[in-house]
Amino acid sequence: MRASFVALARSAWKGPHIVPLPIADALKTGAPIRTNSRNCTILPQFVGVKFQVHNGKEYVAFEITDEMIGHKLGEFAPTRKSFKYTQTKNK
Amino acid sequence: MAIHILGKAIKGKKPIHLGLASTFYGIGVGTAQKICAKLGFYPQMQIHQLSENQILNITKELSGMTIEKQLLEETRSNIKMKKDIGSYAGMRHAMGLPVRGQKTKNNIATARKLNRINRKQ
Amino acid sequence: MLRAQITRNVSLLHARAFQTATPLSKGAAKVVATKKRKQTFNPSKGKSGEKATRAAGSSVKGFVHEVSFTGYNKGAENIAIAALGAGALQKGTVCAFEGATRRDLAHFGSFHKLQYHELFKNPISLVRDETLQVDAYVQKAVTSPSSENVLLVSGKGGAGKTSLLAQAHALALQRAAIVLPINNADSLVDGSNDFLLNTETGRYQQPMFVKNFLHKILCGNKAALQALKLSQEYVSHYKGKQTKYDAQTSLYDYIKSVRTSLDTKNNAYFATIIAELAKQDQFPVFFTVDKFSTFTHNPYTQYRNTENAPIHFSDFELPALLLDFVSGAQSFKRGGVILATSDVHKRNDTFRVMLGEMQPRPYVSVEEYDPTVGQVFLQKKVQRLAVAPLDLAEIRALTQTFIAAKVIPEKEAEKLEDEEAFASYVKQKYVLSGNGNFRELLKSVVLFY
Repeated sequence: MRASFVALARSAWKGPHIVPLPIADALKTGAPIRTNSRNCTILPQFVGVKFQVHNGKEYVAFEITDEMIGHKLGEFAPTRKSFKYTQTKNK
Repeated sequence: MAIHILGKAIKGKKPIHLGLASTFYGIGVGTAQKICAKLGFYPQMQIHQLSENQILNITKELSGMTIEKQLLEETRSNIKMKKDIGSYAGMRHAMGLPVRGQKTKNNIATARKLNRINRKQ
Repeated sequence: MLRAQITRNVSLLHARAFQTATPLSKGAAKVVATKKRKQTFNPSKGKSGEKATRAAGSSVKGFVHEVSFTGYNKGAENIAIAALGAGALQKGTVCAFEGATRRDLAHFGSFHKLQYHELFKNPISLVRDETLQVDAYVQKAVTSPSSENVLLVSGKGGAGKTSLLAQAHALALQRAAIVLPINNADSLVDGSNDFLLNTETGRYQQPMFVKNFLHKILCGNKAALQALKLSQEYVSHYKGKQTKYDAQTSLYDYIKSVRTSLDTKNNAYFATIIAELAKQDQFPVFFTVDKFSTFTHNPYTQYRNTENAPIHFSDFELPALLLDFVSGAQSFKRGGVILATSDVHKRNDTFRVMLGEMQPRPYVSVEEYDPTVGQVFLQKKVQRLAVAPLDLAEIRALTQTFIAAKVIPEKEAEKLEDEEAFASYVKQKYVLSGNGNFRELLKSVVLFY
């Protein structure tokens, strides 16, 4: 992730968008954080935490790695299902 | 008469900045003009007028920049990283669809052509 | 008869040029080929060792070049008209540039392409009110310092500014003056010539341009420059060689010798030459610049410095020198500076301040008003000469010459023998030429008769 993308997306003086989340607890216990705030920026402190992010229907689980820093939580929980043709409705 | 710079032939009759811009991936007219200005070439100077020394200077400038294969490699690795972390942008690249929220009802020829993990250009 | 035929061919070519936008060099080349030699492709001839030597670049120069420089005027009709002579000018007559004057002006490049000079044996020009004014100006200028004689020629496109400049060249030469002609100031700023920073003066030099410029000066002012001797000793360096010029060396030899060394680092050859010309009192010197308004059009040139920022024109040696001579900071002991504007350039505030039409407004952008040029013309009392459109009598005189030179086809000309028909023809031409525009008149005669 290039730093400029983050800088371009949002005014620098605002800093990253931060949502209060129980990071310290999660790191201690290893329990996943279930959240609906898809627009929360991933900070370096998040690395190693497991997240369950709402995609509108269910919670998608993933673990934060180094490379995800600077992205938003929502980027890793796709909201759309691709269309697949089925012969019967009940399948 | 063509001149070879970094193993690539450029037509002698071309203005230098246009010749560089059209030959090297990663160099546009703006960058090429900057190079010309730095090396003191006049705006309408043509490729065939370059002396050995001047060609060496251009080569030196170019070798300090991320262009051609190196640039393509960098772009590819960025896309691949996005795919590997499982982000939405990476997924769209893999599917050959627009990445930045464009509509897909029609007109996505460019995305179909370009967007892929192992991007060609 | 044959000559008339060729003349008509040229006119036809012109006509075709304006009818179609397709490359016309083919058509022109065809006519030339029949004139010069038959061009055939014979592979056996090529193999027999007879190698054709070709100059660098393309042999096809395009229509305009072909028409202007393939000597069509040799086939033109001989007409008896007076040569343009200083002091004996009569308003309303058509004169020709002849002999030495013509040769020198051709060296200067005073005869431009698309001025239809190829239709006449010698280039012709009409003596107008403006010509008389320029003649009076030259007459006065040869006896007074050039700082007092700055003339600015303006007028609409096609009004005859460039032709007037050619006349000025001729009139100055006939008064034994040295002429320094810049025929296209555009080429100083459009990035078509190389440039080199002189770290001592902090100004950029343009060796390629100055080399050509000096060549023109050398060829056109040969006798005068040969008569001038250097005022002091000079030394030139080129590729490790050192050449000394003592005070007996003529300026002609000096220029000829240093002309090739202009691309050496931090040289002052051109400045020296101008300084020598400014020092002497033997010959009056006229600095003429066509398309001077290029400096008001855009004060920033196409050239860029090492930081990739556009360079202001006054950072170049020759344009800066030019401004010095306009402002009077430098001056020839006798002579003048003649500037002509061009219609293709913007009529911005700088342009209008230059013409004395307005005072500069504060808070406008540099594109609108550039103080470098503006200040010079605000502080300097410049003589201004607006070239007026042609009147009926002048068109009449020109038309008569056209008929005599058989530029107007004989069939057409026969119809004009009647006085009444001729008068109405002249009136018609007056309207067609946009109420007296020189260029439009020529076009309407040559292309749309």
